[in-house]
Amino acid sequence: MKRRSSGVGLEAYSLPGGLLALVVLLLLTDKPALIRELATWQNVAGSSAIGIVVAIAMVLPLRAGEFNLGIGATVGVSAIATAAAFTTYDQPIFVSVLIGIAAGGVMGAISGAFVAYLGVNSLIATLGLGILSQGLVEWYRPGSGFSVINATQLTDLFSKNLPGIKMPAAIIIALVIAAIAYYVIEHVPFGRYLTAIGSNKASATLVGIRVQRTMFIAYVASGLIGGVAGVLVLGSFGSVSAQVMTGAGVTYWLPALAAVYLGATAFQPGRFNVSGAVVAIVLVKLIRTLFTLAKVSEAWPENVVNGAALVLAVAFASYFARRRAGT
Amino acid sequence: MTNGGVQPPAPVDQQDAAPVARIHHVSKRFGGTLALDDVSFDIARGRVHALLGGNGSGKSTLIKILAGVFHGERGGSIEVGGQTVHVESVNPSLARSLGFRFVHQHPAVFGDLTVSENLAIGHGYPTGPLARIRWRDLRTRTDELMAKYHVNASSRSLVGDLRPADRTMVAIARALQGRDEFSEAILVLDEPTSALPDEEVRLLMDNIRRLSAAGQTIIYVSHRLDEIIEIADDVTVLRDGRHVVTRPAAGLDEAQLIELIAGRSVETMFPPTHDVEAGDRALEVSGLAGGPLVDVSFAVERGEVLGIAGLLGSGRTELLMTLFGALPRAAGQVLLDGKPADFDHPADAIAAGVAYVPEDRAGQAAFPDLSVANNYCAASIRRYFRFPWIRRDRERADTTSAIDRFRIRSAGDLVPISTLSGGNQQKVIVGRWFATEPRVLLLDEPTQGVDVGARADIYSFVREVVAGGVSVVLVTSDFEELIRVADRIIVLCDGRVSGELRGTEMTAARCTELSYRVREGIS
Repeated sequence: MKRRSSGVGLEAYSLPGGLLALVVLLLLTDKPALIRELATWQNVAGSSAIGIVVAIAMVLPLRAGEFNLGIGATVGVSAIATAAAFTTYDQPIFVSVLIGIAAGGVMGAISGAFVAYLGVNSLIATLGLGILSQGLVEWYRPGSGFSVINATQLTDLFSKNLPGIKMPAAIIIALVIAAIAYYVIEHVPFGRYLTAIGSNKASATLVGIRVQRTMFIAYVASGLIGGVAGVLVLGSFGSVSAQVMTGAGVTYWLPALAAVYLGATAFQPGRFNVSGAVVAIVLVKLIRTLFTLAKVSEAWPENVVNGAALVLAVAFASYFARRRAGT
Repeated sequence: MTNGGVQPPAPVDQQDAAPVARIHHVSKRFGGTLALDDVSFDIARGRVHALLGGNGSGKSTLIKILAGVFHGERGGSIEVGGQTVHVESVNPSLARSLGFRFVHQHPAVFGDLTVSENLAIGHGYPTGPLARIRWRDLRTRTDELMAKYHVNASSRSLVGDLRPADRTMVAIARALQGRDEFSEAILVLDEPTSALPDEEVRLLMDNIRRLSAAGQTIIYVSHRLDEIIEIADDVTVLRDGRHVVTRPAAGLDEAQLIELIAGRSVETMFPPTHDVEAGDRALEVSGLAGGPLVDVSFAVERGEVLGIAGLLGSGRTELLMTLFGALPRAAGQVLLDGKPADFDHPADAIAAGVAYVPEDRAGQAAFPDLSVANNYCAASIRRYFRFPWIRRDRERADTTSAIDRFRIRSAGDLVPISTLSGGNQQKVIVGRWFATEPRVLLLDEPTQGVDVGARADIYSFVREVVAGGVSVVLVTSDFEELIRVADRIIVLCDGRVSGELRGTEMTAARCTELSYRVREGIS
């Protein structure tokens, strides 16, 4: 963890502190059993896995100052590609998964080409390409979806817990991806290049960073990680349809975007970072799970938490940015 | 001669009356840095009081405290007309009621609005029934004010159509309006001329002198020492946050001012140049074209500082950027140590041992929100990578020793570079390129917006690396500076080399003459 000058400590650790405080608070209530229950944490882990992967996919280009709002569509395309390869084209599950991840990579490469080499505004480019690919998938397979229930290797990622740690395998996959992304962003030159581009693109070029190439690679990596998320979505539902994909935006990328912004207030205030995004996702999912266990099964708690988190995170971040500036 | 000795509340040596304002023991701390350290001085009534100091001297901080934008540390006070306020409690409206009026470098006038409307903003529109604006009253009042301040404009003129000096005067009129008693207001002009061309500066100076003659007290902040000598009655110098001297301006010349600001004499500030013998060519450019450049040819010897003179738009910056691979070339050959140096990207140039300090620090060199360490190491990240990590401990150690070596004022290596003053930021940027151990160093206006002390530092570091065999190509608009620093000068004009100067030929007059030569030849 990067140590910063004094005075930002409070800000840097308030998000993880909030998560900890929530857990402690619940231990003190009349239903402490809820938070001690292994099932609660298994649920949190299972529901966090996809969120974490999608959030990491967004952090990579955002670190360089660019959005990837096509990530929801990427998740959908990858899930459909995997399912189609497995059912329609009778490919082994292993090959199908690789095809799904590669499809995500292609989506990332197209976005990256537009943003990095053609200089199209990333907000517009990625959003537009997302809508376009969604339309193409609906045309390819309107209405009916694919079922991959018999691909147990996939569905077991969520439905079975790993022996020993007693957690679903999906969360391990998510955390491994998060760890790799953390390492790349914080500890190798590529991550420094992304951070420099995000700080000042012109300066980055003039210290010898190949800005276009770096941006392009960031988008391809973002797409590949989105592809993994797509495979996980398929595993968690056991089936996929164009409707799922349409819903993928609201279900996956909006919460991930909120978490990424919330996470940017933590650990390295003012900077999009992997650790912050992971903690933010877990916090939101924990709140959601607790509502579910308290028999509120609708989606509203999550939306309320996500919306509030997004607005509060940005308000919070600008407050501390002003304080750092000394006015 | 007063010479930088610390003297607490220096009495202003003047003939008339009590001071209009007294500043007592004002300090300001930012994190670990003491930006202002127990500053006290008096401001005499009806005089132009120049506030001087290098970047990081604390003069901007002091102005912001007077304006109530920053709160000073407890214990300091400001006394105006017998009323004493504690600096920690000053806010913008209190500053205003004390009589302080501020006009900044880029006066906040609205170009699309008329002079009347600009004056009404901040003062309020005169209104009649149903909140109808009484335009006729407003125009009459505006025309009176314009006459009073000698602004060549009518109430209906768009401010954007006025000449720059008049725009500043509208801002001054707006700041002072409604204050009939001149002596009650203290007008603070913060770098009013830094964005103005020379003839506009003249006009503004005349107006300021007129205001002063009418009894207006003015605090005048500027980097341009010739203006100070011309217009100031009193001078206060700050250095490193401390008060150096407050004294009448009479009898001070530019060299003495520089000495007060920098704390050392001019002679010791610029290292001596030397003639470099031809023969060992580090860089050879022939027939280079691209952008505004037409058939540019020159050579730089090893261990030589080649100055490039020229006007804005002569192709100076484009020449450096083309050599650095940041702009494409259309024709020509560049040899670096005898080997072709045709770079498509700055990365190739850096790998070949070329470094480039851009003209626009904020826009093209700094990473404002990143730490001093990240900024310092930005061009040499790869060197710190030993699988599997970037060695942060080494980055930090190197940055810390650079902070020492280049005398950078910073609260450590981890604070964002944007917390440093301009001159200190520039030292970090220049240091960044020294760290890449270049063979050819391209410097584009390396001392722009940098105070005299940091300027001298930067050039003495440049001389050090030149002594070690590095070749330097230096661009600066300040011909006097170019002559002091460069061993040899070529002059660019409309993208062509219009002349070469060595030794005693290197004078500002010759540089200026050659800068215009080709242009006149064409027209």
